[in-house]
Amino acid sequence: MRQFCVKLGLAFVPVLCGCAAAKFYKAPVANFQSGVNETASTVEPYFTELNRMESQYRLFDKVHDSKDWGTEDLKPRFSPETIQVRVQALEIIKRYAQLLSDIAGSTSPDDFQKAADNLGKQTQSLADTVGKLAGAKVPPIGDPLGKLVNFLGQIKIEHDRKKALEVAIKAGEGPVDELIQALRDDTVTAVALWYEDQKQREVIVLGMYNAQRKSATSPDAIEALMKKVLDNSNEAETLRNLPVRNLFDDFESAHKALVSFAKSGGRPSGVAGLAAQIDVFTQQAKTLSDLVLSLRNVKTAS
Amino acid sequence: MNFPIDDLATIVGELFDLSGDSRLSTTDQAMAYQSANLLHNYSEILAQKQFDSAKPQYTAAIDKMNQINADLSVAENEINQLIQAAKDAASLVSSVEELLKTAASFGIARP
Repeated sequence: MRQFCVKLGLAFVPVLCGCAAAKFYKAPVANFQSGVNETASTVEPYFTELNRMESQYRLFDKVHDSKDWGTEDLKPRFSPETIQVRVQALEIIKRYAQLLSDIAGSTSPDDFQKAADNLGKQTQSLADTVGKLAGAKVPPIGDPLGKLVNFLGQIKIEHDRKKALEVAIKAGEGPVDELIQALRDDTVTAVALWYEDQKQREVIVLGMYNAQRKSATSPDAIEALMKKVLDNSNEAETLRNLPVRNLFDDFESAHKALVSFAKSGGRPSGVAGLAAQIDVFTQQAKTLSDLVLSLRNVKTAS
Repeated sequence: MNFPIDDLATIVGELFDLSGDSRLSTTDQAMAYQSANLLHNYSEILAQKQFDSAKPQYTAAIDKMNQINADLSVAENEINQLIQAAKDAASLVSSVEELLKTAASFGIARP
């Protein structure tokens, strides 16, 4: 009986030690995932919007040149296939962050901790029962059960969790960085082209509004024209000034910090620095997401 | 292949602005518009070229990430199975305890 209890006591030591190591990944990885999700929800509309507006710009261009519209004007600048590649890249980083977060565990560690605690309590209760029933000549299951519990303790689930995270983060270093850099170049380019288009459209629209203004006699009609001109101009400047490049720079820095943390073996001393770096990225993603959302709302309302 | 698209966009934007500046002569405005339009077309071509040159990089990185994600799914599955094993063991121990109590109360436990 005493031997059985001693074995139970030892059984949970490795499990609990393991928990202390893996838990340091939980919050940073969850924050990283949140930043990636915000980025994906922000960047994807850029490409979709760019594609959608392409035909409109071409039509405006033809108006300025007094040429007939043709089917060539309806072709998007970026083909659906190339848009899909960019979206796929974002989706795959999202999936990666989701899996990291799942393994680092928002609920699983709690479940495991409960299961481990429960197992400890149940086996201790069983040991007590075996002791009380000793006079009734119970079967000799104390030792086998002790071995079973000891084995479960040796599984070191949290050690496996930590190892899986570190392997995945280190393996993702190259490809995730490459995707972030490619997406940054693409998105900055998309915004720049969008801005050029807007400036062109502004000139053409001004010409059209000038023609319309000559026939507009009421103050309301003139005011409506003025509002449209100003809204058009403000939209171009606002989109141009969105901190898209900063977002990807912060994304890259956050990812590098995560890799560096994994390479250091997830030392507790590195958690604060990692969390701060990832928070900068998450905040930047949130800010940009809010700006894009507000722009979309303004557009929808108008 | 990277090119300073931001700077080019600023130039194109300024040229389009000039093409709509009523203080300039119509000839100068037309010249500004033509120049802006030409540069704008170059921007589009260069942007497409940039994407074309980056596409193999995208594809290779996506392939690697697919493999990493597949490995992560396997690891997640294994960890969840271990967690389930711990839960099941707790239930099993509890059941054995109840069984022992019952058996003892009827005096059928083996010597």
